[in-house]
Amino acid sequence: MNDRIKDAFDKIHTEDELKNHTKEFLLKKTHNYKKRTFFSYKPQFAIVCFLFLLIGISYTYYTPVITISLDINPSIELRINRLDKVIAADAYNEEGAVILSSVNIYHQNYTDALNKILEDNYIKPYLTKEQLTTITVFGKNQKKCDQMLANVTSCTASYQNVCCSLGRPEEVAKAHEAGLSFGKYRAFLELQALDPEITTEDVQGLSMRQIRDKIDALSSELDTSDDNTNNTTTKENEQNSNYEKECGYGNGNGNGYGHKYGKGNGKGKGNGWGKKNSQQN
Amino acid sequence: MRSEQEVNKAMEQYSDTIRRLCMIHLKSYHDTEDIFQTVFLKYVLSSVVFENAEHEKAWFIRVTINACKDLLKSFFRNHTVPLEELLHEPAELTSDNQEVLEAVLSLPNKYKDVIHLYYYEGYSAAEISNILHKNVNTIYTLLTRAKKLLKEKLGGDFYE
Repeated sequence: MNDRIKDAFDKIHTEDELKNHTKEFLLKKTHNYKKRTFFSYKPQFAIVCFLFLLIGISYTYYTPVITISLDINPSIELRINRLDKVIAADAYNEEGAVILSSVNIYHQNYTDALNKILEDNYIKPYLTKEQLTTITVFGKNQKKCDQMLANVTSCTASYQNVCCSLGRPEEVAKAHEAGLSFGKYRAFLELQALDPEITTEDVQGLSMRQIRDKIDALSSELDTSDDNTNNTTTKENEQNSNYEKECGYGNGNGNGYGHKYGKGNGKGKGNGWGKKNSQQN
Repeated sequence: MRSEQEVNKAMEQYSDTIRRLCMIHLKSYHDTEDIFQTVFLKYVLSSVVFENAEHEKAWFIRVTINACKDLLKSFFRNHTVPLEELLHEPAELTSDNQEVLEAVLSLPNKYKDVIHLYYYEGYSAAEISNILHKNVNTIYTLLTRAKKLLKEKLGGDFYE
């Protein structure tokens, strides 16, 4: 039996065709027995690098670093990226929505975008002597904010009653929670400081001019002999009475979140207005 | 990765061993080709360092048997096929060869390997137990039962 089994199995050999097919198969699978080094993954590596680059560029381009809040009665906020391009815009009231739907400002430089908005036929009626336009710039990078504020001030110099100032980013979340753009929210805070019963709903439908008028009216009602020396608003109201209550633009530097970009080095809360004769080119 | 020269050398040395194992386990030439390719690809990509030729041969036998079992698990097979279907090229088989091979192939799977490895490849029960990862007493039991079945099919005496 032993020999019979041996003899039978001895006759079984591998067919040449089977050997050849297997060799071909192995050559194909191993890419001719080439060891895969780092450089043999060149195409895949290039694709991965390209994808990372694409993601990086997209992230850089679409990440907003500065916000510009434009408030008249139309309230809109423009979000600006590192390359000074408008990448997003939000409307905070119906009028703002109308403007955003009629002007194409995306992926444009913010100064061009602002000019386009201010030149729009819908907004022109708001840019009158009676109305007040506030433009607030805010972001984490102070240097960038300062630079943008200077540019915004410069490009809106030809318009009447335009106030440009810096804002505090930490207040943005509260503004948006209240459904207001940042510029309007700041005006609301000033008004609320004078009349604590004022709510965000009360100011939502008001124009910036109307809010300013209310602030002005309440400020003038305050007793100048108030002993509350910590009330800086009162102090500044004394000063404000000597000023034209009209928005001008100066060429000085103001720190703190005054809403003025005017002369003087005020620090801390300021709701003062600049001198009309500071209007210069 | 092993070189083309190493693979070609191994193919010359062990292809017949693998071929016979495929014949024992599989039902078609097509399956044999699959297993051949699988086994040699594993060899190419394996980083095992073989101590000697016997170690390498045992590796091939184990990998082939496992690959055949894996393939058979994937579909239901419970019938034997004629010998002609298992060989692509007609082998020079005598009628006695044919009878013996058919008898071995008709054995239950657990007996085929031990018969082939013991009677043809010449492994001892202890060596077979290492290859098949079975207890050596189990190998002895399987051999005894397989021999009994073959004797019934083929008649004649068994010589150790």
